[in-house]
Amino acid sequence: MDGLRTVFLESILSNDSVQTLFDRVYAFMKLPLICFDVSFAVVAYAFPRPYSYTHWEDIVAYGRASEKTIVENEYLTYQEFMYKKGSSSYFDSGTCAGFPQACGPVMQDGRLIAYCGIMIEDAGINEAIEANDLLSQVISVLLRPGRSEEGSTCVEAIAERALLGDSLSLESAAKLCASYPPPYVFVTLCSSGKSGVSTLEYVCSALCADKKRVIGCSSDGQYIYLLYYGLHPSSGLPVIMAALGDILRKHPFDIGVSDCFDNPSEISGGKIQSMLALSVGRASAQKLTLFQEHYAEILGYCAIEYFGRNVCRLPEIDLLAATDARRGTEVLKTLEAYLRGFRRHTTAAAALCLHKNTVSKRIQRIEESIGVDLSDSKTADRLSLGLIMHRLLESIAEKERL
Amino acid sequence: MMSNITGRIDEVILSGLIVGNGLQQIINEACSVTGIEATLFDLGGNVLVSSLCQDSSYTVPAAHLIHNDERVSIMLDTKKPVILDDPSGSGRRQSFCPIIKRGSLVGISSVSYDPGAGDERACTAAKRFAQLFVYLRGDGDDTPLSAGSHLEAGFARELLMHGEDISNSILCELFSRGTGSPLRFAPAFAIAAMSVGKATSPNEAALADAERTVHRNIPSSFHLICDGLLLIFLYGIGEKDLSEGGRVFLPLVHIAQQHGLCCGVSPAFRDLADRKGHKLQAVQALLLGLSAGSGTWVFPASSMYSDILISGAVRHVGLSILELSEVRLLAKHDAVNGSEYLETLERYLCCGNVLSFAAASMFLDRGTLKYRLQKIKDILHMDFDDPDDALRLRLGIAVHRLSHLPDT
Repeated sequence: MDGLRTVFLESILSNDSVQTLFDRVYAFMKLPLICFDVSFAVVAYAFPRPYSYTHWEDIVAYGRASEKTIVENEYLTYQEFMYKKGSSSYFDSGTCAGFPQACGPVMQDGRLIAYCGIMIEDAGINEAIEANDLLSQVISVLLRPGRSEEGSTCVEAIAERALLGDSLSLESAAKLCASYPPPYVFVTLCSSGKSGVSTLEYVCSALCADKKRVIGCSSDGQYIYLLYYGLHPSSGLPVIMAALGDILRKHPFDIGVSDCFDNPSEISGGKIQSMLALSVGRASAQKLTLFQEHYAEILGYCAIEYFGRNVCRLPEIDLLAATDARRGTEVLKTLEAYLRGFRRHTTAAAALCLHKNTVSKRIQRIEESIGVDLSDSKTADRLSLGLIMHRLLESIAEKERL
Repeated sequence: MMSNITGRIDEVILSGLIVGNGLQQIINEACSVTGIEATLFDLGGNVLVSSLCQDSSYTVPAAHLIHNDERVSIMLDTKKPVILDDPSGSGRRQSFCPIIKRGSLVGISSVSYDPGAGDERACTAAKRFAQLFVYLRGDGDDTPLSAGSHLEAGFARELLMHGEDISNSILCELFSRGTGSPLRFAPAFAIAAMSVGKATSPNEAALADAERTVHRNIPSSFHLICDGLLLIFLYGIGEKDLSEGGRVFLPLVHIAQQHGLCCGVSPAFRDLADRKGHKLQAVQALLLGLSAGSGTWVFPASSMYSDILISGAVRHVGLSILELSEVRLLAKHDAVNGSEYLETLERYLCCGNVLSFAAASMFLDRGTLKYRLQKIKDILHMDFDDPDDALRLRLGIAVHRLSHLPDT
């Protein structure tokens, strides 16, 4: 261990790359070792190739583990175990059967950034674990972005601070704009409790891979914040939706997407929009919620937060809902279709699969029962909003019941 | 007399608060009917209020104990009452308890009594005087208000400035002890908020005058002035009292007219737990009514449902968060190019997306309107004839129109 410590120290003082460190360590210990980041892309390795342990060999051969391999071999489960322990552990079962190894997380400022492992072979288990712990700490030092003041002003650091909620100075905003041009969309992913930090970091790194015009970071072991930049006016949002939909198919997340904005100083506003979309999505059991598409519900949700639930109810809608409950009618549904169809009987009739005259009679009865004139646009707007509030309050109540 | 000092004290306190007596008078009366003596000290041992002359033989021993007896210091640390024998050898006892205001120690309440009165009752009496001191002197002044008693003012504060369950308030507790039943309001309730028109600064004198008029003309109400607003809590409202010409609506109009004020009124409600939200509605109705400049005196929130909900949402998270990018884009285009695309779109959507109707309402040729709408579509890259997009834009434009609304 003393000799190993000397090797580590020399590497740090020489400002070695992680690969050079690994070459030095391998020359000293003659034990295979590897380091890969949270997306299972290789950072450095040291073992003769082709290596008999296929999991490490494939990562090096292809540059990263494939998603199929990650899922089939439950890599994230192993990584989560390492992360929760916070230090190296001995593995010799499952995917490590026949290849006993010491593996552990590489942490930097409390954040998981990579994993490293040493094959034990003929070394002592405790020694290997101790060596791997030290190795992970040295890797963390070598991978630090910048140990001088410049580290904190580099654009990636600025972007991360902005994503986490810090306000930007004019100078920082200009730097950000130059590297990541507008227009922007802010996306918040929230782990629905079943995913660990390893999964969070993996998903974040997968979404932010090269050439995807997105920067991101994780937070609080639960959230991923993404800033998509340089969006194409027409195809930008569909591309984002496709990527997020792909994530939703594989991992348990809830996602909120902000409106578009042009100024980096509006990043915090975009974040709030995405969080509002997330809240509304959760209330209505939707996994992916766009601020624009659910604007009315978001307005309603904010109004409920401000005034309280009962205060936001529209008495006329409550009356119609009570009628439906008592008589088993579809008065609210009819009204909704009518208002949505720009108050045209034919449009509402088509949506409800009814005759135009049936719709007409129903609308007349509604007008009589609540004493309104639906041809008045202000009345129509009031009832539209009242309906939205009614549906929102119902879904919130339903969610609380469950 | 001495065996039921707690009940007698509560009765005297309640009566005193109802008629608007000050702290000194209430304590004097409470002590004279029960035979105890009470003195309230600050933490330095100086007398704040006493039922006796300052050189009384009962006050001096209490002060002596405060300065010299360790058990009083322990009482201040533990906040638990302590009972000590009168050091003057009179055979009486002294009960001490802390006076706590908003979690902080501010003084000591002491009661001197004959042991026959009972230690527990004497402790309760000391605690009651401490509560009374905090209630009346909590804001540094217990001079009676010009309108209404302390009880009414305190209750108005609890109803209009807080949202908690009022059944735990000292006022409800006193009423339930004194009268045998808790104070009951008859629903329905409503809240009104009055302020001056578009004056640059609040007119406190006009509000105070209006408050006196409310006190005279609307007896089923509690009221207070806060932050440039006269807030009125109305109770016992009937079904039509808030409609135009109604029993409550008309007096509000008259009061507003008489004093040059404007008034927002919440809808009627039955659950006191909703009072905070309804107060916010009344204030929003007032602000929206003032900004519309319609020349009306009273603005019922029930006729402004959409605007109030939207303005509440905007107040909750901020206009910049809720402003739609499409609306901002169109507004910016109008500002730069002198066009009227935002208003055109708004009118088209208000007319149910019917081209001929919208063109007629804008005194435009159909062709001109169609051309403008196409230009708008080119800018926004969207089809606002889609029902969901149309609703979103209508709401977004309503939010945008609120950008001129002043803060409360």
